[in-house]
Amino acid sequence: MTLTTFFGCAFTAYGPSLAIFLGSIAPNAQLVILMVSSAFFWLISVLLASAIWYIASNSRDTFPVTIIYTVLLQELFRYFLYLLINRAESGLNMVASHPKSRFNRSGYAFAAGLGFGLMFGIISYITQLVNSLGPGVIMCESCKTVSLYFISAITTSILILHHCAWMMISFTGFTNRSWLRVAWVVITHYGASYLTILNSSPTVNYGCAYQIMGNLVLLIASAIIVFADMRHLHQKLS
Amino acid sequence: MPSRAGADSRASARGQLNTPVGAAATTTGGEDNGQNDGDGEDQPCQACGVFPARFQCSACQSVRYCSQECQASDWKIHYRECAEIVAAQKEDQTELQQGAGRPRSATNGAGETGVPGDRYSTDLEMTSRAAASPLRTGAAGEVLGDEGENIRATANRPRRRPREPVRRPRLTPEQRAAYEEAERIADMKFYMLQIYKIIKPVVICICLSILWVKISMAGSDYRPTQSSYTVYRESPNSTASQNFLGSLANAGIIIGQIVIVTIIIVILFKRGHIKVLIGFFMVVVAMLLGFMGYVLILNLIQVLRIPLDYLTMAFALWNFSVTGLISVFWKGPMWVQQMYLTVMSSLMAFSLTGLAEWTTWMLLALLVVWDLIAVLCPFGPLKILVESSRNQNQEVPALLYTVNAVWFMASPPDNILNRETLRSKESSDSEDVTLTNGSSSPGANFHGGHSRATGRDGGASISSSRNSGLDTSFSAHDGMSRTSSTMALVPNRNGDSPTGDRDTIELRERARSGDSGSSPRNLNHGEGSPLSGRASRSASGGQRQSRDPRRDSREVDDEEEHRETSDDDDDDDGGGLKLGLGDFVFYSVLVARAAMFDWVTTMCCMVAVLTGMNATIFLLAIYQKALPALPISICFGMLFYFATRFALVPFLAVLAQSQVFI
Repeated sequence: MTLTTFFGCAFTAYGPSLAIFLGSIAPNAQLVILMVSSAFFWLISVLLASAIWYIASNSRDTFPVTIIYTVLLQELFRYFLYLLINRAESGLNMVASHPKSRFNRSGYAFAAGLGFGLMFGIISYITQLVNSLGPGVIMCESCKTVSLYFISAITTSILILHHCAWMMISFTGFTNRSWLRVAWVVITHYGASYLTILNSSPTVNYGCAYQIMGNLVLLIASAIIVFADMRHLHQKLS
Repeated sequence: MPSRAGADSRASARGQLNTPVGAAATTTGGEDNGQNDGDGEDQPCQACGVFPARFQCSACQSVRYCSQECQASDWKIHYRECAEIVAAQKEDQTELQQGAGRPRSATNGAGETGVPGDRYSTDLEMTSRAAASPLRTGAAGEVLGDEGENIRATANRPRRRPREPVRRPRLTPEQRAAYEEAERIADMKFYMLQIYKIIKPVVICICLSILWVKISMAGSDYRPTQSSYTVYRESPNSTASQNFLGSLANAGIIIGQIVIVTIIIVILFKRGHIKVLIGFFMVVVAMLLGFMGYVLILNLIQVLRIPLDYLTMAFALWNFSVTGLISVFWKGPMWVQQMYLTVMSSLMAFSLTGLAEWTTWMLLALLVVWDLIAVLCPFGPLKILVESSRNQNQEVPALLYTVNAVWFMASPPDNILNRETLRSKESSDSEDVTLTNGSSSPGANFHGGHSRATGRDGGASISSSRNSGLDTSFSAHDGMSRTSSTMALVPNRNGDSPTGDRDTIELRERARSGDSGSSPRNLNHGEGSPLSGRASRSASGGQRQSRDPRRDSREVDDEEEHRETSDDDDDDDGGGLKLGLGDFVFYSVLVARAAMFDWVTTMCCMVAVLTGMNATIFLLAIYQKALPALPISICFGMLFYFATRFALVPFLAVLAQSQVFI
């Protein structure tokens, strides 16, 4: 269960997002820099959350409470990132390859979302991934026949992509002052996180399956919103 | 306007003198694009708007400046209109001489149509014209020889309609603003690409260091260990304060060694004992590649259980080391050099992981302080090194990782050429890689203009370079070199002595940076990896090999080598950031130390270091001067390491156990 599991889980978890990264972000210097900066922002938000967790030692094991402030901090830093990119947008546009394109902002949102997502994916999953190199295996609590590593890999991959979508939706929301979109992002983020509690729930059978399906549905819904926004942007002036 | 009178006088004096154009051009060329005393008309300075502007551009005599600094800073914008104005003036004279009856096409001064393509020829003519046309000097003699030349040159230009009022094409304020804007954009694009190009080798070096650390931690007998130089051995039983003081003493010793070595290098360099330095560095690199490579291979063999005999290993190691020496100190493809520098930095960092934990962190903290002092304070050794490197027009041997020029990235639009080696003043400096922006701001702007003019040239290639070593690289850029040299002849105001010598020095440096692939910016790593390497080497002398004092120089070598080779490299042109190898080493040390704890800390510290590097380069773009590359990254890295280690890792452990994803 060592190398096979390792590679399988690694590609499952990071494959889609790395493919996206290598295909569309890596050739573009500006987007890479944006991505690294947004990863940094996410990291700060999670560090703050972990500091709070560390201090609030009583509620360390109650996940619903932990998720509340963690997700809240992430969304807050998403907003800060939006403010930063907004402030720097004229400069960013100047050096972009198409300075006057109206899709530039979506590009930045996408790169930032991927930054958030990849950082999230790496931080959340890497220890489990490395553990899967060892000779042992841990089974998932709610689906006792699947290894924990694999379920986590699938969840990670879905959530990374979801982060991209969230960032794009939220940027559209902040730009157009469409609070519905912002609310969608926050609510679905909470939803996705709470769904993952199902992974280890001893009472719900096949909880991991429900979690995966639920997250997939949310991801598809967010993706639909993103595509609708992009199409709207495309049609607006053409 | 004086030129008309001059034209008349020239017309009348024509044919009476034979002044060799070349002589006139070269002798006066040096000053002519500079300033001549104006006639005191009450015009404001073109650059800063101050009254009275007593100087004027001697080429076109149509713009006024208050000082040479303003002229230099405005040159990057004015050179376009200068060319056009002079072309227009020439046309005037040509028209006057040839009669107004000749039908001419209605074009607006040759300069405009000719600007993109003719800029170079225009520039050359400008020089000769400039030589010829300082009417104020009244030296009609030197003017004459150029007249024929100018007429010939202007013969090919589109003519203006007769009877059209003589217009001096001048940049409107909007155009001027547009040019400035374009300049800024090109600037930013350059920096962005440089960041991108420097991130890759840094990431590779860090990843290699992590790899070596992880492998050696898996239970090898050949792990690097602490040297016996250290006075304090950390043990789990000591209290926090004991650890603190003891590690402070250890780190202090190492830093002391680094400081001493830096000062020695600076002194050697200032005195001009370059060969000593080079020899020194060569030995250091050889030792690093040889011995440290040997240690690494032993680690790999033991952990990965590779069946390998000594003969094969010796053969491979020998080849590896010698190839490294050759590619870094002599000639070699740029990518081989860069690869070797990266590998050497990772080997160095690997050896430094032998230090105990508290000592490592203390050392990094002290390095931040040292880096700040050494690069930013006026008496800092690295600053002195940078300046003496500039003064001697001699790059510090190796010690630098150079990023290639970005000129091949895109064909620049006519008015925006990609910058390459801007601000090359410090380009040569390597050792510690100071983020150099070359001169102070007027010079900086000036350089900007140059680079624009030279465009793809990768920094001004000077046709007359004192350094023979550079000549080989000019072959590729001959067409451009003349132009750039012309452009470059405008006095460079860098706040210091604006002598002709200085100009050539500046030019030379730019050229050097141009072809040596060194670019003005060197991120200062605070001590030059050599030093640190040196100190740490002695500090971590617990290697199996005998502690060789020359091993220290190895580190120094790393950085030197790079520069040396790049000098001879024709293909990859200068321009671009230069990051000292010491920066690579200490970034890798930090992340490798984080890797000794957990993967999460590793990733967090890597992101922190990269973001710090981005921030430093961003500051470089703003401040345009040498900046230390270590402080921001190391501070971020340390902060994130401790925050992650004590808060995030337990947090994630709890979450991962229940597969809850936040």
